[in-house]
Amino acid sequence: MSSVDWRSLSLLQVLALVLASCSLSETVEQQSKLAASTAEAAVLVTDAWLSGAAPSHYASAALQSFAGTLGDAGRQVESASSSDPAKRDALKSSLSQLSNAASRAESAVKAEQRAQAAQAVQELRAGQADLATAYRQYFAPRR
Amino acid sequence: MQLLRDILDKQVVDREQVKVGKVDGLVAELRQGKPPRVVAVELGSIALARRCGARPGRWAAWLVARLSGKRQARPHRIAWNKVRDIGVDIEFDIDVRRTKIFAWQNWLRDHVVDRIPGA
Amino acid sequence: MKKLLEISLGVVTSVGGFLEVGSMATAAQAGAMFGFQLIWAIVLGTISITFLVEMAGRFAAVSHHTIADGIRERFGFTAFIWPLLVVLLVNFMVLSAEIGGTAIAAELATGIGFQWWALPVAFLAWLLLWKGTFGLIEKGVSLLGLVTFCFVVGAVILHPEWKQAAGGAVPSLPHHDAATYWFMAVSILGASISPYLFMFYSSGAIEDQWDESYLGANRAIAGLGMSFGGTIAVAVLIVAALVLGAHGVNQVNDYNQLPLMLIQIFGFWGFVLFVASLAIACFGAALEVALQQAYLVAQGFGWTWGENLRPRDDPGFSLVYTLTLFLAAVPITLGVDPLRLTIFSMALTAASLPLTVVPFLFLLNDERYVGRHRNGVISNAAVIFVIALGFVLAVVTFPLQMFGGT
Repeated sequence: MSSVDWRSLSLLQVLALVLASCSLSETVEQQSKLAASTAEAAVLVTDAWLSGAAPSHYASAALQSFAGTLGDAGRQVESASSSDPAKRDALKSSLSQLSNAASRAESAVKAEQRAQAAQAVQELRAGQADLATAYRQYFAPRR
Repeated sequence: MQLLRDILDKQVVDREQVKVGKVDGLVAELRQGKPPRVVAVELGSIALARRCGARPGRWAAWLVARLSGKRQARPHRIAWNKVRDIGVDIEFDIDVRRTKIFAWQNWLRDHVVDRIPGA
Repeated sequence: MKKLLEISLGVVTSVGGFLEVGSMATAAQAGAMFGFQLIWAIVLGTISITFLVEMAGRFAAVSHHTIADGIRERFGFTAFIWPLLVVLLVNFMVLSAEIGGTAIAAELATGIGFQWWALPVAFLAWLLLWKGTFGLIEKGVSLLGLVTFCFVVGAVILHPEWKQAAGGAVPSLPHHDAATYWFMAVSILGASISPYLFMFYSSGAIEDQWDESYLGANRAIAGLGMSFGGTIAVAVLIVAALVLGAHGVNQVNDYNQLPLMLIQIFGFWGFVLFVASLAIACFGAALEVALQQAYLVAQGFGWTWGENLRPRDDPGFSLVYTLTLFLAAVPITLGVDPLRLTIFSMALTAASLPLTVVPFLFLLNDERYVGRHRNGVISNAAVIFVIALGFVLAVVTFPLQMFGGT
């Protein structure tokens, strides 16, 4: 999701009036889900490139775009206000980790370095696991 | 025959079956003690604009006058006695090439279309 | 024999018209996020468009009027101007989306950004319309469009739970993301019930000089063509559900995710097939929408029209498609995201339906136009249903766009 277009603007106007507090946790939830989906797509694209099923120019362009989406999600989560900043920061750092891994995958594809690409897939997998844990903790019911 | 229902907005063709336009307006003659009689049909942007109201009609006339001269600033008229056949289309016994109705299409052909290779 | 050939060509053409960037993108998004649950929207949309296309063809064959001619003549210019303006606007957005889809295919194939491809794509489409004939465009491009059957092959290879897929054909309430669910249902309906499709079809019937002897062929073409088109759209949804959704790629908001659907099944050839399908389906639709803009304006104002004439014989008509094509390339050239534009224009199409479908109820029941080939009870029930659906869509589209748009 890119920064501001007219739809999210009108969305913001409505939400600002009605759901001022809710919208922020919604952003965190939405961005986390988007990031999980995008990270998986990054894994699939890199794997496809490794098996020769995706041409390099496509794989690198896709990974660049996915890294951008992941980085954006991280920034949106970071700017969300939260009652528990520590959990939010954990979520944020897992998103940055994913964005960086996707960027590394992109450079590996561009340089035709298969070993690095395989390494980046591992990092993406690790980032996905971290994201899942951080997400669970963020939305865990408080006692 | 119900004029508004059966004539207005029908396709007009000339005697060579060339599509001329739609019946954009009707000109009727009011007669005392008798029903009004159609004397002509009108075609073109000014006639159309007049149907949307008096003001759009004036704007269209002004615009046409600016673009193609005062003499063009009236709707094109075809006399009703030229009508030959009313079916899917209304055929008039005219040759559209001898009217001014296609002036803008001719201008377009001469100044734009013919300059693009392959037309 | 000749009729049989004509029917099969017609079916192929209708499939080509049905499957375009809108139905592919909406089906892919829906499948990735909701599995088979939204198949019903494609089925409902396909049944609706089948009825409308059959009626448009019957109206043209019997009355020798296109739908646009009919609306203007029956309701007068002051009523005609509203559907005219709305359809011109909706078509313009759809055309832009189709150019964008073709440009994305070109980007995927070459690695050069899609913005750079919008104008060349528009130019190529213009060249074909300028030099080509109706038959060449209608049949040639649609025959190439058969490549989209690879989605059906892919869906079969994946061995979906057919029972579960059939269950998706029955409307059901969403378990999560309700606003997004309904927004996707609206977009799918908008992508299936496109005004340009039935209006183009009626113009095509006049271009091909149909008369009452074509009524049987018309029924076969509308029925088979639309159901094949719908089948491919369902196949796209199934593939998206089983390849993207099942892996956890639930949110298709980046066109770079789309080739994965076929890569996972066919490997490198899947990539090639996806790019070819996208390019051909979108390019074919771009040609049809651009032509439909010109048909609509020319028919609305009674100008000479016909794709078989030389441009110098119908300069007004040729000018309209020329301007539309190049103007529609502008938003893509400026970098508007084609996928977002597509989803947005499909929702807009859905909202515009009442204006274009209400006239069917009058035109197809007017003996002065269709004589004894008037609508029967079933056809009228179908039109009334689509009108009701159209009004619901028109009311809910914009709120849903705000809350459920991705």
